[in-house]
Amino acid sequence: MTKLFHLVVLFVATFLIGAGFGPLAYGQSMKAGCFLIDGQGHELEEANGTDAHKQVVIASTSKVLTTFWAIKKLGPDFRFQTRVHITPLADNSYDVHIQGGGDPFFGLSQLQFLMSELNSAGVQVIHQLSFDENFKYLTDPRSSPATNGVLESHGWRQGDPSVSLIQSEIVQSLNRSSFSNMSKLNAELAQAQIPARNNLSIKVLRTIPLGQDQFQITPETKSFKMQSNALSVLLKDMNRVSNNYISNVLFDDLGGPQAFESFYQSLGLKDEVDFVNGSGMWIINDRGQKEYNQASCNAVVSTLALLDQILEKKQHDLQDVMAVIGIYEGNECSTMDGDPNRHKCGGVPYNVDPLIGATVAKTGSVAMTTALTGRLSTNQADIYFGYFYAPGSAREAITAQVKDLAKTYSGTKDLNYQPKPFQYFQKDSGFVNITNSLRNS
Amino acid sequence: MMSHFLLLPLIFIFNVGHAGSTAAPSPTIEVQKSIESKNISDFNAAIKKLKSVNEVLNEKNETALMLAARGEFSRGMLALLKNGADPLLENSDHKNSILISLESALCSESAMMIKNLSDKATNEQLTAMAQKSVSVNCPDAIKALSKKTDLKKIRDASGENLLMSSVEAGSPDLVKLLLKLGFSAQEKSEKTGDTAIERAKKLGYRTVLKTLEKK
Repeated sequence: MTKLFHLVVLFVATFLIGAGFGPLAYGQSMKAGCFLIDGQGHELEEANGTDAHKQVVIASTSKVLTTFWAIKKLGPDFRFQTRVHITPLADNSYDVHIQGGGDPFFGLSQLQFLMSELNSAGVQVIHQLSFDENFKYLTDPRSSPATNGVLESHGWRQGDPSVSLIQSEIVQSLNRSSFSNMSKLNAELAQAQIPARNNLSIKVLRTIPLGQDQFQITPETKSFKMQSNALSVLLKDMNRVSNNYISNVLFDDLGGPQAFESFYQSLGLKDEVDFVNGSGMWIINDRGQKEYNQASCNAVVSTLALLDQILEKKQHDLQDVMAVIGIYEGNECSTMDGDPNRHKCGGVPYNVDPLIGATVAKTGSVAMTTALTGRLSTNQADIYFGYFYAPGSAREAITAQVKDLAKTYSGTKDLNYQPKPFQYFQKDSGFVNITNSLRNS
Repeated sequence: MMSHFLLLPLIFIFNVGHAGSTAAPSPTIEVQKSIESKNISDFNAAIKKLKSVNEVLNEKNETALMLAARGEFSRGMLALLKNGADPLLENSDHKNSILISLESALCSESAMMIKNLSDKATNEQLTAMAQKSVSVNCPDAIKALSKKTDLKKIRDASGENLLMSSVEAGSPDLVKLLLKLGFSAQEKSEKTGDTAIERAKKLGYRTVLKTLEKK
């Protein structure tokens, strides 16, 4: 079913007077605020409020736009493919070349899994391990250091992580004393019903970058592919913890700022969106100044509505790619349930009734903006909202406004969402021989 | 010539609070800039230039700790506290650093400051902290406050106790904690006569109701 949306601009003053909720001295630090109602039958109307169309720094709510771009371009069931080419050498060793597929989640577990698949293919000594420009690697791309660490000390540059950083991360991973120990990986594989692996027996003599145009397949080369879980699962994890690294790599995979601009031009929203990366973190521009993603509230909530629409068409839900307030995925909470700086569960204003279980949302927080955008399921309609504030009492004010929306539209409707702990692997993630198909192509 | 006129306001801004010099920005500006960039080295350097760690830095009577709390700069706050910053000093709005930190949703930092509070905190201050902890959904701070004051005596602006305030706030985390601390789900509101369970039902707060009924 096609959803049509009726845009309602939130005039702050109207809300202050009409809604009658107390602490709205906070209104003065609001930069923009708007909401869309899933009107089912209403035409999509243009917003006419100054605040709704004004570009503001949108911080990590940028990831909603990155998510939409990825879903639109690749589809929710897309799986990243990493190709592995194995060429035997005379001394019973092998050259192994990794042809990346831009998978931003590729880390230690995936490298261990790849090596275990190589062991199964009879490879124990690698003379040369090479990787191309599309192979992205960090030891733990899901960890907080990857999210908030060294890569961001200089801001994000297109093309990060650098080849030298990837090379150094791979070598460090291979040199770990625990690299051959499969116990942690086996626990992950078990979730995907993949049989446990024996500890690794692998020796890598050297690791180098090798551009795709420099790599040659020989008649002796055997080629395999391995696959990630579905994109929707990966996006959900990215959005849940607001992983800047993953969203920036993904954004670059999709084409970077210029391609993004073209994409938003096709949606008629180009003038309301100005992105420098996929995360909402800053970059340092050529003049040595910090630049942040900017967009209008209208662009953000319209994107959210369109994302929901496209997911529904593909038999998915918004909650498949974004977190639900108050619902932990296994033991893992989202930025909406936890300390905004430490992602610790418990203790943020958003995690309250009647938002819990009824609100799919994404937080944003940088030096000058605190934001929340999402979909509130009420007993009258689904409402897409976005609130962008200067820091301070922003979260309390935003919570009050979303609660007021719930009250105005007769309370919230529980999504009955069943949490699904993150898993990177699927049963068929392991090596699939593609030697013949590559030769025939 | 025109460009010189355009520079005048900038020169004026840099001179505020730093009379007699046009070259270096004032310590206040340096503190504020380092908070905005969340750069701990610059921040440490800036606070070293202050006359004291509790120096008032602007016309609102705010200290560096208040500015760091408002800027959600945890590392800066920790550095100041280690150097003896007083979290109970109040600005011209009668807000101390703990209240500002709670407003900024820095729950852990607020709880840590409360835990380390000296006995000089007044009942009025502790009550304000408890009320704010409820309105921003910070169970850690309430837990820390339970060691400093009798939470059961605290009433919010409408005369409700903390359990009823937490029900109104919609926080299952707070409700769970307060029940553990001895509050009763069956106790009637002194103001309206309904119980916490009845209030949660009336508000349609599903998760809070489940939490209350579990007890």
